[in-house]
Amino acid sequence: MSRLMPPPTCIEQEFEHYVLLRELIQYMTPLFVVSTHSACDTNQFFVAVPPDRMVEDFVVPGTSGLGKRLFQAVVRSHIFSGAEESHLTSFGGHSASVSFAELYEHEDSSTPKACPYSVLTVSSSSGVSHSATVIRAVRLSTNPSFTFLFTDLSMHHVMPMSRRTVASMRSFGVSGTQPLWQRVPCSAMRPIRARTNELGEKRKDLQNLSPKISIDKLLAYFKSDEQSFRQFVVDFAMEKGEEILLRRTSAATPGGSTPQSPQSPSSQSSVATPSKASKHDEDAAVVQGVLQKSMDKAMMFIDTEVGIFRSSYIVVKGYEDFAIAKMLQIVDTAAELAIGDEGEQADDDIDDCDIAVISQPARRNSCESVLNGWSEEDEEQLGVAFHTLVTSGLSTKMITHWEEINYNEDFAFCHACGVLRRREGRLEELRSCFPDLLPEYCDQIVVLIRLLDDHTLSVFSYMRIMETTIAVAVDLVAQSSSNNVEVTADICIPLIVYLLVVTGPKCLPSRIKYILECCTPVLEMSALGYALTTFEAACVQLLEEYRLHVTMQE
Amino acid sequence: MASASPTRAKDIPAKIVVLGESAVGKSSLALRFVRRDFIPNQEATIGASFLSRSVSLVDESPPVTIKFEIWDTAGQERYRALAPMYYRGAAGALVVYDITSADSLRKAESWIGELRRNADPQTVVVLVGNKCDLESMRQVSIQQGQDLAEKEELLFYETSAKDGTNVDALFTNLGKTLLSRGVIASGVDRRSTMSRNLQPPGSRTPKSEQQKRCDC
Repeated sequence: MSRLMPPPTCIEQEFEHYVLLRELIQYMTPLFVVSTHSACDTNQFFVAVPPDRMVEDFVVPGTSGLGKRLFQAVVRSHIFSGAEESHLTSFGGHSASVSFAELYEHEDSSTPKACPYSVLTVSSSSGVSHSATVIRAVRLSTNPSFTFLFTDLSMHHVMPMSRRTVASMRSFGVSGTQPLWQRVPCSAMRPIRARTNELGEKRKDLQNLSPKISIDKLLAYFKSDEQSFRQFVVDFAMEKGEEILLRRTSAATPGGSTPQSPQSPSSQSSVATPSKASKHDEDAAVVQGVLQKSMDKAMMFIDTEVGIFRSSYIVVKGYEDFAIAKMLQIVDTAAELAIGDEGEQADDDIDDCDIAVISQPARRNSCESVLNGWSEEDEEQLGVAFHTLVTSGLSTKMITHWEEINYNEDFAFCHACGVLRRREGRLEELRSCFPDLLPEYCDQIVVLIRLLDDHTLSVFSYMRIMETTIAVAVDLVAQSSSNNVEVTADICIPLIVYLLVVTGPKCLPSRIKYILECCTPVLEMSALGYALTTFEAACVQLLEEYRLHVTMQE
Repeated sequence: MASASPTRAKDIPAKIVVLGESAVGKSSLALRFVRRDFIPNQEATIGASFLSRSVSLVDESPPVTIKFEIWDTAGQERYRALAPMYYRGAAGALVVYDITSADSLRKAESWIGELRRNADPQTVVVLVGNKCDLESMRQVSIQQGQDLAEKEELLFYETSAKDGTNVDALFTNLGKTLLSRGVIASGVDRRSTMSRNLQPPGSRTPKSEQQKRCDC
């Protein structure tokens, strides 16, 4: 019996394939179209498969075994889980339809293997169409109504069906104040700023300085800042609830006077209107209850999806876009759950409301207030919070992969830093823009930049590290400068180049690529985005300096 | 059923990149615009390189507030190749020259050409002749600036970062142009605010940028 069992390595391999396929199918289901077409038989389903040998091996006739069975089981469970076509073709709210330019067998009999579905056209809801050449069609043996369409490399061009059209100017911002997510405290800044000030004060007495902050401590600061986003979401719901109530009450009050807060002691003086106060309390309970429930749903969704992603997904080389799409889908879905913009959810929330003493119409009013109370800013702020939590949860898996695929760039960058650092006179040359800055003062910045090599942080935190680095460096230069000059963009790039050469981060190019791929437009346009761009520019400039140096040597 | 509609008008963000030769007054221009009404909590986070100020356009119907996010760039020639990274996704670009330097106008012309080749065609470009308070040292006439602006179909202003001449007018009209040309708008699709474009592998770097890097 034991002889019939495959060796352990085979089982592991099968399992690995299973996980891989599961991941591919997970992505394919929403991204790569399953659809019926009026010209086809009824109940015909198609899945467009990107070029991948492993998938092909499991699907083509003649293969058998556990892998194929697993594959088919996975396909069934994922593809046929939707009851209607609309369930199968939706991705982030965008639907796609498929049409075939050529639906008949190739007339040329000399090419019997010619595929009847030669061109596949995918039209997205935005009106953009993309085509892919189909190189083979295989019907699923266990269910003939199901056909795989294997495409050539041009299938990549079909991917834009999942693109979301982002206007050239994306909305993020504030109304006179900073967005809430920018108010999440950067606790790491406090000790660094204190240390920087200390350096400024004691610049002539370096031996008396207190020990520098360790990298572990700084990392812990940034990690705790990420976790504070969870509390931020809860606080945000409470704050929003209050705001919605105030707005509703002021709209109901003639003249729009601001009502007294139910918690305010002065509200007790209005003895003449106890029923009003009690109604306000009821409303507050309902609104905050609905909001809290939505937030809980969103947080639970994030935790579950991140857990599944971490435990069972493999990021396949060449298919990184799928991983990013999945990651952003988690963020978007969580935001939708939190905001509850679907009508059914309002009804659910009303029905599920545990506060029995409140009448149904009152509950309905409150829920509608919640639904109408969200502004674009709120959605964006929640988006940033969820994005941070998701990217923080998936960082180890994603970043490790990005480091693997960008190994050469990282290595070359690190080498360039080393060469420039060792080369006599090169550092001094780089420092020519800020001659007053003593190298000894840069130790905190070096620690900050080294944090970028860590692979457990969120996109938000990496961008924040970059922003903090520039802010601290600019402070140092301003303090060191005898003329107290304004530090402008002219100094930023050489300053960061100098600091990168001194530090020699191991994985900066791959980190920048990862952030650029995963960053949201909201973050991209903020000061964090400026810091990221400056680091990106500094990296390019550093490599340019290295090339120049090598050329001069030759 | 009820749908989530914005409850109040929000600021419309507009990324503006400032380009031009070194020492023409790019940073001073941005600083003059932003710090004129100095509010402590709006202090720049990254020195004077990234600045932000909201401007209400009450003439518009309905009135809107534009939040200008000003990205300053390094003016030195050696960093010129890095500029495309900064004007990626910019709604507007200020190409600044110094009216006391004829050479700076020539450089501005090359900046405009580069923007035309590499930037989003929708990006609104403004030609700005700075330091107009130094009339006695003028080397570039207003007519020369206007001619170039007309030839390239740009907005044109002469400003003084020192005394504030035309600085507010420049940004106000830039905001109006951005709105009228539909470069910026409120009420962007909710989903688009949270996610980003997915692009095929290898196509993330703009072509022009890739080309530049290859040339190095």
